[in-house]
Amino acid sequence: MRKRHFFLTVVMTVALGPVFADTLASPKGKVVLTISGKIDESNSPQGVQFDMAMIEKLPQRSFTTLTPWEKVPIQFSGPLLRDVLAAVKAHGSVIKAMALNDYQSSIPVEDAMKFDMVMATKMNGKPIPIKTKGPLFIVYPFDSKPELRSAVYYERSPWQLKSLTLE
Amino acid sequence: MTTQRSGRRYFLWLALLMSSMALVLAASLFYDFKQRSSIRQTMERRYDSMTALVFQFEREFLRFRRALETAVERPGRDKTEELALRYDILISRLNLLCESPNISVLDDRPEFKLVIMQMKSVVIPAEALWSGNQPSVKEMEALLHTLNAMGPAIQSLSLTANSEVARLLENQSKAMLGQSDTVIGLSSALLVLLLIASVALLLRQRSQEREHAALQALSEDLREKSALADASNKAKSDFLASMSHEIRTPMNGIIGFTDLVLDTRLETVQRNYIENVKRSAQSLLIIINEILDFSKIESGAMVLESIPLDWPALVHHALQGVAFEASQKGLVLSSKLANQMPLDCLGDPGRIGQVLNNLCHNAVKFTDRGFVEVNVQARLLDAHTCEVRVAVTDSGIGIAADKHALVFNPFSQADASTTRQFGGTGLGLTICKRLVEGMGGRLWLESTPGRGSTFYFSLPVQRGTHRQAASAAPASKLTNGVRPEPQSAAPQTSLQVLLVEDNPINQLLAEAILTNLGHKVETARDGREALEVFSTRTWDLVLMDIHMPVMSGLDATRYIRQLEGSGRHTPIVATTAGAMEADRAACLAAGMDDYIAKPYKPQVLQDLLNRMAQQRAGENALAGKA
Repeated sequence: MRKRHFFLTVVMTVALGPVFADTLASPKGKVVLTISGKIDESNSPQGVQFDMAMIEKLPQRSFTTLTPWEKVPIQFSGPLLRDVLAAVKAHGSVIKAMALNDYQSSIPVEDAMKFDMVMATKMNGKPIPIKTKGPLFIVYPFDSKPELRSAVYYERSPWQLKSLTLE
Repeated sequence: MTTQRSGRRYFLWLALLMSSMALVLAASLFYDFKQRSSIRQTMERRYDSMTALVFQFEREFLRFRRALETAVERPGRDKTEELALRYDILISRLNLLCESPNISVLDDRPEFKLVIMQMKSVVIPAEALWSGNQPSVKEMEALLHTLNAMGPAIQSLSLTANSEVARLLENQSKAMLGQSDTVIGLSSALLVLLLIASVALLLRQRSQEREHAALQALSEDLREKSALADASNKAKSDFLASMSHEIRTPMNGIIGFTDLVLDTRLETVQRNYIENVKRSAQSLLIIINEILDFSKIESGAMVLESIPLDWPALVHHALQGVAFEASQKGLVLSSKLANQMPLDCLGDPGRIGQVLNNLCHNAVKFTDRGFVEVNVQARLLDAHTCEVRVAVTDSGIGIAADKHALVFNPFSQADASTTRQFGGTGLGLTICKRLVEGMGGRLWLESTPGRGSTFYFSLPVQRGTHRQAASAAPASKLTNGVRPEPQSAAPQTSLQVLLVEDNPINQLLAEAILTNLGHKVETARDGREALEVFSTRTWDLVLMDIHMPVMSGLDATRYIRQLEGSGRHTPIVATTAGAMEADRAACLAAGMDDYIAKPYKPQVLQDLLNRMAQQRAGENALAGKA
């Protein structure tokens, strides 16, 4: 099942990659993410706006990891952060992430290249409600490298994500 | 014994001390570990994040209340959406508060329970107000009222979280301080133990040094005492040697003149008397010689020769020495020599003969009837050595087993009554034992009282002919030694002899013997006189005493040799009673040719003179040919 999923992802990346810029249409549903700052794409005066359907069209990835905020390991699924950045043709070195509750954190762009960070839309296969940590949650694969299990990376993992600004 | 025990106790204490140190160190390590794990726990728990969570919750609560206020004041769809978002965010903070492991310490606090209960009973059901349609202002006002009432409880939760964290941190600090105190205490204990151990070691070292010094002092003392004892023993030996020397000089006169008297015409009674005198004198001489030998061995002056041994001659001579006494007692003398006796044994014939003579003499002395037998056996050890075992068996009175060791002690015989019955110095067997041991052998005895005794001695003997030349060298003159029977032939030549002798009696005796043998004698009383007489003519032989007044024999000899230069060599033969090896070496070094021991024995003198006469005849013949 997962293998087929992966195969589909590859096919979609190869087939749709070149025409992706044209697909950046305006969001049809409720806007859940706004990306601004040093980016070359745009679909609104605020920058690039995404609804959940646009995010779910990006190649999907998932991993399971323990976090300091839950007592058991959770499976996180969503596009890789670096694919999101590529989709908006981002440049710059720091991502300013803003959460619904005004929580703000800075993520080095380098982290997104180095680690398979996911902008999760699902936890354990279910959409994430705002009542928990949704709708978007940037997560490092904490269990893949021991160095990631530190306060530095925990603070760079915002939930209830609202917007990204490239600087 | 006491030192040993105290040493053991010391080590026990030291071990105990070490064990306590190890124990203290282990405890210290344990506390260090505990401290480390509590620090780790702090790091993991991140108690401080508890205040942040509660603070965030309170903040979102206030924002939700503010959104509700706005919606009540200016109702509208957008205000309702904002309210729903704030609600969701608040609920997410509530969930975090309930689920985060970092906040579990707050679970039991009433302030926490109250807030959770109020949230669940009042706030969560309120979602129904805006989930379907627009909520009524009245409903929202009611909710706002409730939220306002909740304010103090929410505030108090924040304060509780704050004080709880402070309390936790304080407890932790206290615990760490306590652990730190324990570690400091343990380290101090360790320090004290170490100090005690080092003091103990220091004290131990001190006491050992003291013991060592005491031991050294003791050994120094012993060394001094032993040196003193050695010195006094040497003085005794020297005294014995010089006494026997002093006694031998007059003995020289007695025996010599007795011989001269026996050469004259005597009546039978007179001859018997004189012969008794001679025998007594000879016995006395033997005793003196034994004492001299003993003192020589004691002073370590024994020098061994290594020349070919003639075992049959040695045995024959020993038996001949006791033949007279044995025949008087009617004893049967016999000897047995092994057939395979090696002919090329090397050794000191003088010393071996002395032992053999002594054992035979003792055997005859303590046997009244029966036999005395000498048995010589040889056993080859390897190509170069053999072991010779000599047994002298008698059928005499025997020696009790408990007296066996005693007979070898100096100056003692089996018991005091023996001395009275048989006489003697009691030195004979001691000398034999020392001589045999000096030659690397062993002397022992087997005996049954009343049945007889066998004295054994075994010697390791070197074999070989390479030392044959040594036999040509003049043999050491042993006071009691055995020499092969000399060929007594009448002198063919009359010799000119210069006799140098300070003792008038010895002078007279030697003159008498020499004249009797047909030689011409002139005398000098000391070295200086000897030099004057010597230069008057040529001499065939000089008989030179060593110890003389004015000028010693050694000095006189050196002058004579100087005078002669490379010209004619006059034979000079030393005559002295100081029959020590050192004397002999000194004589040869001074330029003398030979050495004879006093008292003068006619036989020895005659032998010497015969040799000289033959030598002279040979020289004359050579001169004639030339």
